[in-house]
Amino acid sequence: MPQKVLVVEDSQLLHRMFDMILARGPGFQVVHAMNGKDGLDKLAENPDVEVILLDINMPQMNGLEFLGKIQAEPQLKEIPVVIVSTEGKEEDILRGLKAGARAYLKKPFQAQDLLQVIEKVRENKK
Amino acid sequence: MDATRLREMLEATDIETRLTAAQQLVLFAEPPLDAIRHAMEDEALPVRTHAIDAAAKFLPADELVSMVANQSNATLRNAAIEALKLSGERGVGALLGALTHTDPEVVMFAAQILGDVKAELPVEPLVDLLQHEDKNIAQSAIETLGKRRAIDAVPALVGVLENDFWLQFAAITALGEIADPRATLPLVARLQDEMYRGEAAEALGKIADAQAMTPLLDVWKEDTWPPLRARVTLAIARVAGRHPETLKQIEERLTGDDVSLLRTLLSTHARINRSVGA
Repeated sequence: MPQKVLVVEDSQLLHRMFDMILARGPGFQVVHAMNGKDGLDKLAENPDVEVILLDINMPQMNGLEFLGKIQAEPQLKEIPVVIVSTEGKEEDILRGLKAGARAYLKKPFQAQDLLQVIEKVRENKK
Repeated sequence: MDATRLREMLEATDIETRLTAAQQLVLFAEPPLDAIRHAMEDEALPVRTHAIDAAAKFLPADELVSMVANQSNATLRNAAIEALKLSGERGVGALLGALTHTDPEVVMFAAQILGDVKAELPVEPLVDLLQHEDKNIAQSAIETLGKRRAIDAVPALVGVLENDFWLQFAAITALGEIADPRATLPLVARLQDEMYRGEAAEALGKIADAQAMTPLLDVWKEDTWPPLRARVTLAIARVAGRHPETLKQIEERLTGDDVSLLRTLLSTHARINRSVGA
């Protein structure tokens, strides 16, 4: 059974990129959400998500709001979250980690960087 | 309802009262702008949504751009982004001006927002951003040029295909959206790279140039990964739909069971298209 990754991101282009990087070689099953609210709905439908890749700046519900919601749910807060964002200043990274994210990946990134950070948070979860 | 009562209602603790007030904002000939700004930061999404509609109509576009620059208030920033997308002609000047903002995040957001604005706008300022040192900005410009089907940007976007992954992937997608056959041969070259193969195949299907049929058939034969094959099959169907004479290449490029398999898949596509009136 392929491992599930939830991508919460408002750019269709980024969703296609994540699909390409994650689905082929590594064989992840990618679940797509276009904003934080959609992300919560998709988590309810897919309780077996292994990792969440989370953008910050999104309409309706931004990434930090989403993170706050899942941190308040005992069964959801254990899912490792990787923030994937253009915001890369130290205070942005610290804010994300303080809000509950396990790792931070700044855009633009290379495919290998993404795969490495996912592997790292999955290993740490074990 | 007067402006004073509107402001009071927007401060109410219950969401229903605040929502009723927010719904009234667009009905004013000249709503109080402070009330719109206040409602844009409301904790309730339905209230914010109505405030965004009002902001798109009444707040100065320059002010909305300055809200986008406010990094400390994500709620207001996101509301301003949505308002600018809805602002149409009103927002174009401010957004084009924001493409040279000192804050690279503002430039990036402005480039993104221009992809959703329903108004005519010049393409050159976005083409200029393709060479920006900040790859997030360049990518936003590429994506917007694709969304806007900017046919004049095709040569510049083809040039981006020599760039790194972050921009090349975006350029392939954009060239598919624009669907200009000048991109056919450069996209065919991208079929060689597994990283871009699916995206390039899809783009070639959208362009539907007969020149793409042979290389698409070769990829279909050689790369049997099911999700990729599905995309290539669709691309082949699209090319064949516009150029039925290219179908004879199936027997020229494929052998044995592959011929009948592909023919079956293509006829399934055709049946589905007929049934949905495509």
